[in-house]
Amino acid sequence: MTDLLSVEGLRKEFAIPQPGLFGTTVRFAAVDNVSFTIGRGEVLGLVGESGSGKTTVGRCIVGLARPEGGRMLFDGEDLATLSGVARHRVRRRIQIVFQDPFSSLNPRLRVGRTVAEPMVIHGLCVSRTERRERVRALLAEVGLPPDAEHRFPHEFSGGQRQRIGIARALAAEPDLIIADEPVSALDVSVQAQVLNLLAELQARHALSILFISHDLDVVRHLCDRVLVMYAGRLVEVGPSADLVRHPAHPYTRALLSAVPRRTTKAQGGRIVLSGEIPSPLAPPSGCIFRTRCPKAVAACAEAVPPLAEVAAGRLAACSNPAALFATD
Amino acid sequence: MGDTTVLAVENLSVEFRSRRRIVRAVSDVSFTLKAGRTFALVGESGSGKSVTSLAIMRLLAAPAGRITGGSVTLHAPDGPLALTALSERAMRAVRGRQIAMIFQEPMTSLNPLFTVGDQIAEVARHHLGTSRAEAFKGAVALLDRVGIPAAAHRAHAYPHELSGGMRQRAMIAMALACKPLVMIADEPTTALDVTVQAQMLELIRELQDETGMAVLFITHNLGVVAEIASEVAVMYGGQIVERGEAGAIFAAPRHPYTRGLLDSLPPEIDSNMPVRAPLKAIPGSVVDLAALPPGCRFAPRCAWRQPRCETGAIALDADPANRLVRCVRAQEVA
Ligand SMILES: Nc1ncnc2c1ncn2[C@@H]1O[C@H](COP(=O)(O)OP(=O)(O)OP(=O)(O)O)[C@@H](O)[C@H]1O
Ligand SMILES: Nc1ncnc2c1ncn2[C@@H]1O[C@H](COP(=O)(O)OP(=O)(O)OP(=O)(O)O)[C@@H](O)[C@H]1O
Ligand SMILES: [Mg+2]
Ligand SMILES: [Mg+2]
Repeated sequence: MTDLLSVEGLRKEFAIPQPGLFGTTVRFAAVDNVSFTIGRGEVLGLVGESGSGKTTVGRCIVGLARPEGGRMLFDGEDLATLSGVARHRVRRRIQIVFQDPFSSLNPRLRVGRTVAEPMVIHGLCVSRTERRERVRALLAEVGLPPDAEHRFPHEFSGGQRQRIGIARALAAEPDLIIADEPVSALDVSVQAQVLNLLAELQARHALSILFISHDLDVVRHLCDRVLVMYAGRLVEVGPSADLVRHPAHPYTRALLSAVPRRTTKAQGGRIVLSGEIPSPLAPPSGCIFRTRCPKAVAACAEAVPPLAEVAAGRLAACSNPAALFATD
Repeated sequence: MGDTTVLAVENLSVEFRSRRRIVRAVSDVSFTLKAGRTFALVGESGSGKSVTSLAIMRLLAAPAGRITGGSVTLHAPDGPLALTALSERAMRAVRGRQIAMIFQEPMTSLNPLFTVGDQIAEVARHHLGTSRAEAFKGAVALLDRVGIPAAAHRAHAYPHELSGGMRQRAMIAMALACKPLVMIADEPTTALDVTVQAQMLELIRELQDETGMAVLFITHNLGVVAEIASEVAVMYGGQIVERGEAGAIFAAPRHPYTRGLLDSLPPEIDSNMPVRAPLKAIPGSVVDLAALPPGCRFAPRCAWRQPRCETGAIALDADPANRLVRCVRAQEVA
């Protein structure tokens, strides 16, 4: 069976203003040569530095951003070349839950309308009564009180609003959900409910999920595999349990060592990344992490290391063989 | 330094009134912020954490939102100020200058029409009377200090041109622009990756050592609380249900809600639990703040519930170790 989604060499550029030169801009690649696949029913985690391009990857997949390069195949169809009805049909099957539940909900629409919107757009549950019933079922499924459908987004707390966003995404009956920090605004007991809910829905509908998160405990818990991004590039890919236990790439190790802990301490202590975060406008030659990498050697400046197999089922992009899986 | 009270919240209560309902968002909340220390507020979504901080800042949406009881006192260098009694004009001078706030959602507090550099500079210009050029230079330095790469460029960017984490850092920079006495940070690190989060916590600690700034830190991340807070209050249904030293509470929670909270977390990263093993969520749903039960607000969801829990209000009692717990069976829960 083919993968549900296959992303090859994805590239997305942005222009940002030049200081001092009013009106002029410079371009940089927010996502640079990113390739990965999502299997049917697979939950794939996407973690990495803030600003490394995670949200941008998600926005390219759902069609909210237009990539400058690369190819995305969804169920065998090229997302860039689809148009008209075919495009609309595929779009229903990919839904997004946003990082920011405040600006993604229309403040003037009652919650019931917001949740019903995807059904209207995609012609699901055509009769009004059917739609209302489905809205009620969805609100109950994400744990909102029954009267929520008549209220406005501002009457809900941050966590409750995020559940509205999840209910709306589910309304389209998608095959793939891009979940951008969907539980980071939730308190932990509700987070547990939502994670259990996502796991249940995933199992019941063989849903695929691209789960973008900074919470590595949550990613380890929910995801089958994990992608690690740094400054627009993928630096490591692997099965989550194995990857968190035996990180191959020095950046992944630094990331894991920074996870705040309630009870235990990180093995080997915290790796503090020194050195400047490279300016995306003037990225260093070779490996983009080398300016902050405690394991950098001369070879790292020479060429961009490709994402290559470093152990069974494990990929990493690193030029220094001695740095891989290092434990110090 | 650690024992000087900078801000005292006493028996604070807040209501939202509409024609249809009265939402008792905050009930009888008390705590103090100490110089150079961090106090954390954690708890159920909708339990009143953000409303508590908005009430301190007197930023409740009028006329629906009202402080219905209690007081907030800022112990400024030139004497105590009863914030709950200040005129709106006097309060404006306190906001941003003496108490800075980082909001839960940065997009709602950054103005989309101005560059982040201009917005940060404006704070210093407004409160400290710094010149335009100086203020902008200061803004770039702050953006750099909170770890925004290419800060001199990014100062000219509009909020929508920054990633979520960068916007959050820009908010932190804006809050720090006036070296406030108190910083209220509502989920300040939620949008940040853990390495930047660790840097941010370190930065806050450094500034606290330098300036004695007191911090009220609202978060769902108990790992962060364990790292940064000396004291923590757990809120449920608008009330504090447990308050005390953070490490002690995590090691031995006394309130059934606190215990449920800790039990519902995904296992820590190096655990052996299989993927997607069901988490122990607290059963039931959030209490309706417009229809509060007469007794314990957590009782309907509580495994320790007894008939006496549901008849009258439960007091927040101190135990010998100075832990405050709002539960008649606190000793058994531990
Ligand atoms: N509309 C835009 N215009 C210009 N630059 C942008 C735009 N959107 C994103 N960027 C830039 O692209 C880069 C990647 O941003 P993105 O939001 O994808 O990061 P992220 O990994 O999701 O970060 P975070 O974890 O902080 O949410 C950042 O440098 C950001 O400033
Ligand atoms: N403007 C308003 N009108 C009516 N009710 C409100 C308003 N603002 C907040 N509330 C209610 O007050 C209660 C407390 O909300 P608050 O935002 O303080 O929760 P919170 O503890 O910060 O939650 P979260 O962790 O989700 O951010 C909630 O039940 C909310 O619905
Ligand atoms: Mg993002
Ligand atoms: Mg809040």
